[in-house]
Amino acid sequence: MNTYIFSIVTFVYMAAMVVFVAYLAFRKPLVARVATVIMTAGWLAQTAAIGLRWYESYEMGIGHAPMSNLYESLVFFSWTIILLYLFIQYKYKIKILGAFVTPFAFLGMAYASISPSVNETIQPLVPALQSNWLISHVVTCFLGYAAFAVSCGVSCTYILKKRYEDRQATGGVLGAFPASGVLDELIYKTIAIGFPLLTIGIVTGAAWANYAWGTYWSWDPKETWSLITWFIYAAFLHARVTRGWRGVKAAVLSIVGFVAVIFTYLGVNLLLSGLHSYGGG
Amino acid sequence: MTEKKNVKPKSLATGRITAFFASLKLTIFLLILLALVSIIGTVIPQNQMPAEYLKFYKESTYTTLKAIGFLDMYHSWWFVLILALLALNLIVCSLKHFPRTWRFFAKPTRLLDRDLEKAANLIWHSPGKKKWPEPAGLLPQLKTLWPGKWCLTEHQGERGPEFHYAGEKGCWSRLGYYFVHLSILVIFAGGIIGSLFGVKGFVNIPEGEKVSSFYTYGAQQTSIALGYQVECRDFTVEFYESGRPKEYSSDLAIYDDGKLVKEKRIEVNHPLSYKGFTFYQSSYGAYGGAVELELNFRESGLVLPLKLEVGKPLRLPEKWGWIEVLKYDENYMRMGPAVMVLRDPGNGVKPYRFQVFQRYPKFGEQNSKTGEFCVFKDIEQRYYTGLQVNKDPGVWIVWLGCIMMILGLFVAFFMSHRRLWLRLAPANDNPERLELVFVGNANKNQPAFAAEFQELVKKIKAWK
Ligand code: HEM
Repeated sequence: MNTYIFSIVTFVYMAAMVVFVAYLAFRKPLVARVATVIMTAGWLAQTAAIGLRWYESYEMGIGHAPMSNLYESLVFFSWTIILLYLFIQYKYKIKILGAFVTPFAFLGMAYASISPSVNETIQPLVPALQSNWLISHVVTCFLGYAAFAVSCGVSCTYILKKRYEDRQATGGVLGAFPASGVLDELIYKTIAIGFPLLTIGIVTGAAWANYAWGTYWSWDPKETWSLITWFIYAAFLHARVTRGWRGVKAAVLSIVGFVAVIFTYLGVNLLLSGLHSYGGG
Repeated sequence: MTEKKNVKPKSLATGRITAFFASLKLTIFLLILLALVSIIGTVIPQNQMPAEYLKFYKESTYTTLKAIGFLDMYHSWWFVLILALLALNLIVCSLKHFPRTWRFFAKPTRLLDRDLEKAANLIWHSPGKKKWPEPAGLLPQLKTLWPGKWCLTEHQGERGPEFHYAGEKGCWSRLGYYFVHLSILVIFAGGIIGSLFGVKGFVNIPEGEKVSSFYTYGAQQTSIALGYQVECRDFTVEFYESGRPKEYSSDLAIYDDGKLVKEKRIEVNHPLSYKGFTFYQSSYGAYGGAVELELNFRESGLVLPLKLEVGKPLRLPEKWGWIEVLKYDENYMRMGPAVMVLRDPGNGVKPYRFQVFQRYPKFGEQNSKTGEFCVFKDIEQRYYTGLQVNKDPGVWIVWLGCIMMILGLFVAFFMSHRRLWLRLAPANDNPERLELVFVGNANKNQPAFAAEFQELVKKIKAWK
């Protein structure tokens, strides 16, 4: 049942994405409002389905929060991206970013629903994952990842807009984007949200590892990649206050940071080996 | 920001070195370098046995990789050196910047002078018409308007006495990123203490037995005394239907000086600590429990109950030869508990082996080709529990550092130092009237503060 709702949500997010792109082209506030409504509806349905899946796992007698395998984590990832996006849109009143952020949520859901290598069934937890640390660790990591996804979307926009401003062009789609200064501030804001969350995610992971098997840090590939991501965003934070590193270079660092996030999340399991569980699905 | 006045000639070189180690460009370089080299260790498996590497690499490649430290790179001298440089960078940089930050505490800007007025991006001038409240009575009003730390300075200006009010909130938030930086040093310190004074090892305890020492990992496996005894009273394991382990746990008891001092059932994620050592459930194994079998002879209908230790052949009475349980599996090919039996009938027939399943008692009879078959009645299964033993005196320092870092990040990102100045001074055109100038400044999140500032301006306008 829940997987059925998730596939519908996938299409809803696709629709929201299309309408957000249409907003880029037509720039009518009504279009943006429609896109936001579609997106919110999809998010509410997804929230309900996550709750349902949680409930179903208890019905099956293997109750656990729905964040334990690749399928569930992809769904959760999309959910946090939309949540964070809606928060930012509400707080900073910028609707133009939707077109750059929805694709991440849509792709996450589509990958979860379509890829044959992603197992949709609710599975029991292996002993190592049976811990209260699981939820705090996963939730903080994914909220951080979602903030970085949004910042990556903004960074791409920023680079396009900056080039456009440097050409002193007018009109066109890019003309409708917020000024590069505003975008630059937004990149910083989203990373300022993501960085503490990633830090908490790494710390809760370390605390859990210490509690479970007595080492807070063992340089396993997933741990190391999360630290690599952390180094990149730390570099970004310092780049922003360094002459010669501001602007486009810092934006590129934030995009590289998000590539590292994706690798931490998916690449490590698909290409490298280690302790974390959602390999292959 | 530029060189200080008292630069002595000899400190020029030291000055350059300091500038190098204080620079943020070095920080960015080191952070990116760390990110890049860390990738190596995620691609090349770390700390494997030489034989594992030789499966993938040529001998010469292996020796080269080993020599440059790629096989244990996170502990190699050059990786540690990068971390040390980062720490040095951090210390020098913070020491350099701190005096400037400290000035906000020691010498807050109290006067709203013309320079400050010119540089301000949040500013409001009164039209100069209204009559303002008494200068002396303004302070309490300002405090209710904006509950920060306010103070009043009287100043003799060109056109008569001026009243300067300075208010601020959240000055301490300027310390946020120093706190973050300090936390990194604290975490490093905890890690160093752990690696110098900590130990890691393992011990296997058979059910019902006690140990008083454990073994370290690594080639030497030195034995380390605990100073007390640990008993494994009982071990249990449960499986999911798929055969994956669901839960395993050990009932542990600790005896210090011969007295029982602690008991706990430990499982994965739920360890036991005593006197600096922590015991983690990490593995388990089955070992030689007695297996109860029945050997049935079809022709005579004779049933021979047997009790066999795994791996110990038993000579049967009469001329019935030998029997031995070779191996016990808890879940053989997902068909539940099973033993592999070696049977040597001793009458010139070749010895043969077969599986006997506890859950399928008829299986043996149906598949027997020799006129005899076995039934697996029970096993007095005995396990040993595999514990990881750990002592890390640095771990609390690491947690302290982590908490400092998280708090510091929240302060650095979400708190700001907000300052307001208000000046009542004789107006330019009419020294009889007082003119009011209101200026605001925030070191972070200016848009939010600008909104707050506009609200304050509205309230000031409403003053009678
Ligand atoms: C892993 C190492 C480091 C981490 C995690 C870190 C973290 C941070 C954070 C979170 C901030 C606040 C950023 C902001 O408010 O936007 C900051 C600021 C700063 N960091 Fe670091 N830092 C590190 C290393 C260093 C080093 C080695 C230096 C030495 C040059 C340094 C110099 C600074 C300076 C000068 C600022 C203030 C920037 C400003 O004016 O806002 N940091 N750092």
